[in-house]
Amino acid sequence: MSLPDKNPIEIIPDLAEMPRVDRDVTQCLKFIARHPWGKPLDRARDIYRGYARIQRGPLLNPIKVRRRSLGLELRRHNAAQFAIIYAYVKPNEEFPRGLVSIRAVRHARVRDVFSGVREQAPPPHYFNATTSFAE
Amino acid sequence: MSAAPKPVSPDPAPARRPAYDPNNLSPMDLEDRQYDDTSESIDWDEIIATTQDDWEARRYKLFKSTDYPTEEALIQALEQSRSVTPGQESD
Repeated sequence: MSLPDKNPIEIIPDLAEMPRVDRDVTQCLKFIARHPWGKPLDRARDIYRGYARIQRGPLLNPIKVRRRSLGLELRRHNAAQFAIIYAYVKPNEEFPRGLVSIRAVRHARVRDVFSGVREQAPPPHYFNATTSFAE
Repeated sequence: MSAAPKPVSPDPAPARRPAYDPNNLSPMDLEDRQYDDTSESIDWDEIIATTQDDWEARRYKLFKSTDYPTEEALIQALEQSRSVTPGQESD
Protein backbone atom coordinates (compact mmCIF):
# COMPACT_ATOMS: atom_id res chain seq x y z
CA MET A 1 0.00 0.00 0.00
CA SER A 2 1.48 3.35 -1.00
CA LEU A 3 1.24 6.36 1.22
CA PRO A 4 0.05 9.71 -0.15
CA ASP A 5 2.83 12.13 -1.12
CA LYS A 6 1.77 14.65 1.44
CA ASN A 7 -0.16 14.60 4.65
CA PRO A 8 -3.57 16.15 3.81
CA ILE A 9 -3.31 18.28 6.94
CA GLU A 10 -0.32 20.07 5.41
CA ILE A 11 -2.13 20.93 2.18
CA ILE A 12 -3.10 24.58 2.33
CA PRO A 13 -5.83 25.67 -0.09
CA ASP A 14 -5.37 28.57 -2.48
CA LEU A 15 -7.08 31.87 -1.70
CA ALA A 16 -9.37 33.88 -3.99
CA GLU A 17 -10.56 37.35 -3.08
CA MET A 18 -13.67 38.64 -4.83
CA PRO A 19 -13.61 42.21 -6.21
CA ARG A 20 -16.20 43.43 -3.69
CA VAL A 21 -13.92 42.44 -0.82
CA ASP A 22 -11.51 45.20 -1.80
CA ARG A 23 -14.35 47.69 -1.23
CA ASP A 24 -15.40 45.99 2.00
CA VAL A 25 -11.89 46.13 3.46
CA THR A 26 -11.43 49.75 2.38
CA GLN A 27 -14.74 50.71 4.04
CA CYS A 28 -13.84 48.91 7.26
CA LEU A 29 -10.42 50.55 7.40
CA LYS A 30 -11.81 53.99 6.62
CA PHE A 31 -14.17 53.57 9.55
CA ILE A 32 -11.21 52.64 11.77
CA ALA A 33 -9.10 55.52 10.45
CA ARG A 34 -11.78 58.05 11.47
CA HIS A 35 -11.11 57.30 15.11
CA PRO A 36 -8.09 59.00 16.66
CA TRP A 37 -7.00 55.75 18.29
CA GLY A 38 -7.63 53.70 15.16
CA LYS A 39 -4.71 51.89 13.57
CA PRO A 40 -5.91 50.90 10.09
CA LEU A 41 -2.67 49.19 9.11
CA ASP A 42 -2.80 46.97 12.18
CA ARG A 43 -6.47 46.23 11.62
CA ALA A 44 -5.77 45.34 7.97
CA ARG A 45 -3.28 42.81 9.27
CA ASP A 46 -5.98 41.40 11.56
CA ILE A 47 -8.10 40.72 8.49
CA TYR A 48 -5.23 39.16 6.52
CA ARG A 49 -4.27 37.02 9.49
CA GLY A 50 -7.89 35.88 9.52
CA TYR A 51 -7.53 34.79 5.89
CA ALA A 52 -4.45 32.77 6.82
CA ARG A 53 -6.28 31.12 9.72
CA ILE A 54 -9.14 30.17 7.42
CA GLN A 55 -6.68 28.65 4.94
CA ARG A 56 -5.31 26.45 7.69
CA GLY A 57 -8.71 25.24 8.81
CA PRO A 58 -11.41 26.09 6.28
CA LEU A 59 -13.87 23.55 7.69
CA LEU A 60 -13.51 24.63 11.31
CA ASN A 61 -16.23 27.26 11.01
CA PRO A 62 -19.79 25.96 10.65
CA ILE A 63 -21.86 26.52 7.53
CA LYS A 64 -24.09 29.55 7.97
CA VAL A 65 -25.86 29.60 4.64
CA ARG A 66 -26.35 27.08 1.88
CA ARG A 67 -27.67 27.47 -1.66
CA ARG A 68 -27.91 24.07 -3.25
CA SER A 69 -28.66 25.40 -6.74
CA LEU A 70 -25.23 27.08 -6.75
CA GLY A 71 -23.40 24.38 -4.80
CA LEU A 72 -22.49 27.17 -2.39
CA GLU A 73 -21.94 27.09 1.34
CA LEU A 74 -20.93 30.23 3.19
CA ARG A 75 -19.10 30.24 6.49
CA ARG A 76 -18.10 33.05 8.82
CA HIS A 77 -14.77 33.50 10.55
CA ASN A 78 -14.35 36.16 13.21
CA ALA A 79 -10.99 37.91 13.08
CA ALA A 80 -10.59 40.56 15.79
CA GLN A 81 -13.49 42.97 15.18
CA PHE A 82 -14.23 41.73 11.67
CA ALA A 83 -16.36 38.98 10.20
CA ILE A 84 -14.90 37.28 7.15
CA ILE A 85 -17.45 35.51 4.95
CA TYR A 86 -16.04 32.75 2.79
CA ALA A 87 -16.78 29.59 0.87
CA TYR A 88 -14.56 26.55 0.74
CA VAL A 89 -14.10 24.58 -2.47
CA LYS A 90 -12.77 21.10 -1.95
CA PRO A 91 -9.76 20.00 -4.06
CA ASN A 92 -10.64 19.46 -7.70
CA GLU A 93 -8.89 19.50 -11.08
CA GLU A 94 -8.71 23.28 -11.21
CA PHE A 95 -7.68 23.74 -7.59
CA PRO A 96 -5.82 20.60 -6.53
CA ARG A 97 -5.23 22.00 -3.05
CA GLY A 98 -8.77 23.31 -2.70
CA LEU A 99 -9.72 26.96 -2.56
CA VAL A 100 -10.94 29.46 -0.01
CA SER A 101 -13.12 32.04 -1.73
CA ILE A 102 -13.36 35.22 0.34
CA ARG A 103 -16.80 36.71 -0.35
CA ALA A 104 -17.13 39.62 2.08
CA VAL A 105 -15.56 41.33 5.07
CA ARG A 106 -17.79 43.05 7.60
CA HIS A 107 -17.22 44.99 10.74
CA ALA A 108 -18.60 42.54 13.29
CA ARG A 109 -21.39 43.56 15.61
CA VAL A 110 -20.93 42.15 19.03
CA ARG A 111 -24.44 41.71 20.40
CA ASP A 112 -23.54 39.92 23.58
CA VAL A 113 -20.48 38.72 25.40
CA PHE A 114 -21.05 35.16 24.20
CA SER A 115 -20.95 36.15 20.53
CA GLY A 116 -18.56 33.81 18.75
CA VAL A 117 -18.09 31.80 21.93
CA ARG A 118 -21.40 30.06 22.40
CA GLU A 119 -22.74 28.79 19.08
CA GLN A 120 -26.45 28.23 18.60
CA ALA A 121 -27.61 24.70 17.94
CA PRO A 122 -27.86 24.12 14.17
CA PRO A 123 -31.27 23.49 12.64
CA PRO A 124 -32.05 19.79 12.20
CA HIS A 125 -30.65 18.04 9.12
CA TYR A 126 -29.12 21.25 7.87
CA PHE A 127 -25.63 22.00 9.14
CA ASN A 128 -24.70 18.36 9.30
CA ALA A 129 -21.01 18.24 8.42
CA THR A 130 -21.43 14.87 6.72
CA THR A 131 -23.63 16.43 4.03
CA SER A 132 -21.37 19.39 3.24
CA PHE A 133 -20.46 20.00 -0.39
CA ALA A 134 -16.91 20.53 0.75
CA GLU A 135 -16.38 17.05 2.12
CA MET B 1 -39.10 66.23 -49.83
CA SER B 2 -39.05 63.08 -47.86
CA ALA B 3 -37.34 62.93 -44.56
CA ALA B 4 -34.08 61.09 -44.40
CA PRO B 5 -34.55 57.62 -43.04
CA LYS B 6 -33.64 57.36 -39.46
CA PRO B 7 -30.82 54.95 -38.72
CA VAL B 8 -32.13 51.81 -37.26
CA SER B 9 -30.49 51.10 -34.00
CA PRO B 10 -29.87 47.46 -33.31
CA ASP B 11 -31.93 45.88 -30.60
CA PRO B 12 -30.21 46.32 -27.28
CA ALA B 13 -28.52 43.16 -26.12
CA PRO B 14 -30.73 41.30 -23.73
CA ALA B 15 -29.65 41.84 -20.16
CA ARG B 16 -27.75 38.86 -18.90
CA ARG B 17 -29.46 37.04 -16.10
CA PRO B 18 -27.54 37.29 -12.86
CA ALA B 19 -26.18 34.06 -11.48
CA TYR B 20 -28.17 34.64 -8.31
CA ASP B 21 -31.33 36.68 -8.06
CA PRO B 22 -32.69 36.86 -4.50
CA ASN B 23 -36.08 37.90 -5.87
CA ASN B 24 -36.39 34.90 -8.14
CA LEU B 25 -35.14 31.91 -6.20
CA SER B 26 -35.62 28.29 -7.09
CA PRO B 27 -37.82 26.25 -4.72
CA MET B 28 -34.65 24.56 -3.46
CA ASP B 29 -32.99 27.87 -2.58
CA LEU B 30 -36.20 29.19 -1.02
CA GLU B 31 -36.16 26.18 1.25
CA ASP B 32 -32.47 26.73 2.05
CA ARG B 33 -33.12 30.38 2.86
CA GLN B 34 -35.41 29.39 5.72
CA TYR B 35 -32.34 28.11 7.54
CA ASP B 36 -30.03 31.09 6.95
CA ASP B 37 -28.20 32.17 10.09
CA THR B 38 -29.75 35.53 10.94
CA SER B 39 -28.05 35.99 14.30
CA GLU B 40 -25.60 38.68 13.15
CA SER B 41 -27.77 40.67 10.74
CA ILE B 42 -25.63 39.69 7.78
CA ASP B 43 -27.39 40.12 4.44
CA TRP B 44 -26.38 36.79 2.93
CA ASP B 45 -28.45 37.25 -0.20
CA GLU B 46 -26.70 40.53 -0.95
CA ILE B 47 -23.29 38.90 -0.50
CA ILE B 48 -24.16 36.01 -2.80
CA ALA B 49 -25.76 38.30 -5.40
CA THR B 50 -22.73 40.60 -5.52
CA THR B 51 -20.11 37.86 -5.73
CA GLN B 52 -21.58 34.91 -7.61
CA ASP B 53 -21.27 36.50 -11.08
CA ASP B 54 -17.61 37.33 -10.39
CA TRP B 55 -17.01 33.83 -9.09
CA GLU B 56 -18.49 32.17 -12.15
CA ALA B 57 -16.62 34.54 -14.50
CA ARG B 58 -13.42 33.88 -12.54
CA ARG B 59 -12.98 37.55 -11.73
CA TYR B 60 -10.98 37.41 -8.53
CA LYS B 61 -7.49 37.86 -7.15
CA LEU B 62 -5.92 34.45 -6.74
CA PHE B 63 -3.18 33.77 -4.21
CA LYS B 64 -1.73 30.31 -4.68
CA SER B 65 -0.68 28.76 -1.42
CA THR B 66 2.47 27.39 -3.04
CA ASP B 67 3.55 30.97 -3.84
CA TYR B 68 2.78 32.22 -0.32
CA PRO B 69 3.47 29.28 1.97
CA THR B 70 3.75 31.30 5.18
CA GLU B 71 1.28 33.60 6.89
CA GLU B 72 3.70 36.53 6.62
CA ALA B 73 4.23 35.97 2.88
CA LEU B 74 0.47 35.96 2.32
CA ILE B 75 -0.04 39.10 4.41
CA GLN B 76 2.64 40.95 2.46
CA ALA B 77 1.10 39.89 -0.85
CA LEU B 78 -2.34 41.05 0.30
CA GLU B 79 -0.93 44.40 1.47
CA GLN B 80 0.76 44.93 -1.87
CA SER B 81 -2.40 44.02 -3.74
CA ARG B 82 -4.31 46.91 -2.14
CA SER B 83 -3.94 50.15 -4.01
CA VAL B 84 -4.36 52.42 -0.99
CA THR B 85 -4.87 51.62 2.65
CA PRO B 86 -6.89 54.23 4.54
CA GLY B 87 -4.58 56.22 6.75
CA GLN B 88 -1.81 56.04 4.15
CA GLU B 89 -3.42 58.06 1.37
CA SER B 90 -2.07 61.53 0.72
CA ASP B 91 -4.52 64.44 0.81
